[in-house]
Amino acid sequence: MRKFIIAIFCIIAFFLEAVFFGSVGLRNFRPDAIIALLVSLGVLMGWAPTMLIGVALGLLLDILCNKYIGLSSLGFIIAAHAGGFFFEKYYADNLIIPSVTAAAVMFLKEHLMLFVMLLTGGRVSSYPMLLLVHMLPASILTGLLCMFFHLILRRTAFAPGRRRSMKR
Amino acid sequence: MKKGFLKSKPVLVTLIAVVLLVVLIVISSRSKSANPGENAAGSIFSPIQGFAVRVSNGISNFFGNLFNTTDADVENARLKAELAQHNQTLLDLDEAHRENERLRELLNYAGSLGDGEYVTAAVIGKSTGIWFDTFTIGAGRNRGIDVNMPVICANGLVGVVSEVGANWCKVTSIIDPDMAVPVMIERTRDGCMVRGVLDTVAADKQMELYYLPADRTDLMPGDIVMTSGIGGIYPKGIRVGTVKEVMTSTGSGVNAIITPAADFLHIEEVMVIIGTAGEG
Repeated sequence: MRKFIIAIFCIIAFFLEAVFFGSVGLRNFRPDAIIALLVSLGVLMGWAPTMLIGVALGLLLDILCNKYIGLSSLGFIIAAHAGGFFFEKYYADNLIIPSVTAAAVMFLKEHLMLFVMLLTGGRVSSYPMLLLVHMLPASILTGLLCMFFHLILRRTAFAPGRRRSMKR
Repeated sequence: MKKGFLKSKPVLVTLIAVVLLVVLIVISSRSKSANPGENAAGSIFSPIQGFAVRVSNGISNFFGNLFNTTDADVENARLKAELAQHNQTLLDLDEAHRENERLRELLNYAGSLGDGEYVTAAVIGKSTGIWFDTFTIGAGRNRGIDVNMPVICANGLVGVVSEVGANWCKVTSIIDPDMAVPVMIERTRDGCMVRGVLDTVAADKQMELYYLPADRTDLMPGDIVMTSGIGGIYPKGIRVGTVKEVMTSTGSGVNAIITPAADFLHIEEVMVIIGTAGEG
């Protein structure tokens, strides 16, 4: 049942990221739904399974939508590790830790993307504006989305009754 | 020793994954044709992606319609349901009508460019994030599409095919930060280049015009910029955009800011030019 719920969440996050945000024309103020989900999953079930999910989602996302295959997966690996760092260290009910972590990971991932873009010959009109208009709002939105995902995940797939089986 | 290895296991696994991914990024940036794995995944998922795009558009239209309704009768539950039904029918009709209009405009524009072979395809995916501007369309090698074929919409040039799969292909937009297109000013016939630039402040997507000869300073806002045909990828005469702002200082090498002709936020169908008149 847990695997099924996680799969449903993965499909929803993938749909939001690959189709919905693009089709409604979200540009600067756009969260990363997959990072939000992966950080929450990392906190709830550790880095290893989360990284596997992240790499798979990232590769599929890049094949279907993006320019460089593997680039998204790199960002998702960071998300899995950042979330996994807090696995079994804090109460899973804590919403602040995953949301702040997701925002920080988003901020880091956007800098990774900026670095790759500059490396491949791209140009940016103004870094401070980029930071202010895109990176910070996107990071905050990702943190809020992570809070939402975490809230639902801990009450469904990782509800107290089910949480026991998660520990080795 | 064993304990140390176990402790560093996450680091080792991650390092291996990162190295493999970096190799994959480098390979994918150099390869213009989809590899078998990529091709299989793209072929399987692109029809699903097309369906998901239609669902997403439906959701977006539905909520857009709800927010625009101001009739007091909608407070009544029964009328609400009826209204929603009628609205859905109207939306379907409206959507079909708009699609018809868009395709007609596209055909008219293609006709104005002269004889050539075109393939019409729907946009089924857009790149995530703001860093790169690529999109996926639902036609590929099965329809005769190959890399470096120009892609247009009813308003003008959209981009170039950068990767091809069996029934899908990826198009790099002309506004992508590492794209450059040889162009000329329609009024003065001066040749120059335009390139994409990442600008988060401007409401519309923008491009930069550069390499304009130093003695040609009579550029004016509103001047039309079109492809020059140099380089062999883009046929001559396709509209690229209009001059929005002429730069007085050319210290950066940029002569003007260009507003693209195509509306990149609302592209739904495009045409790939697979052959031009006179080609054998």
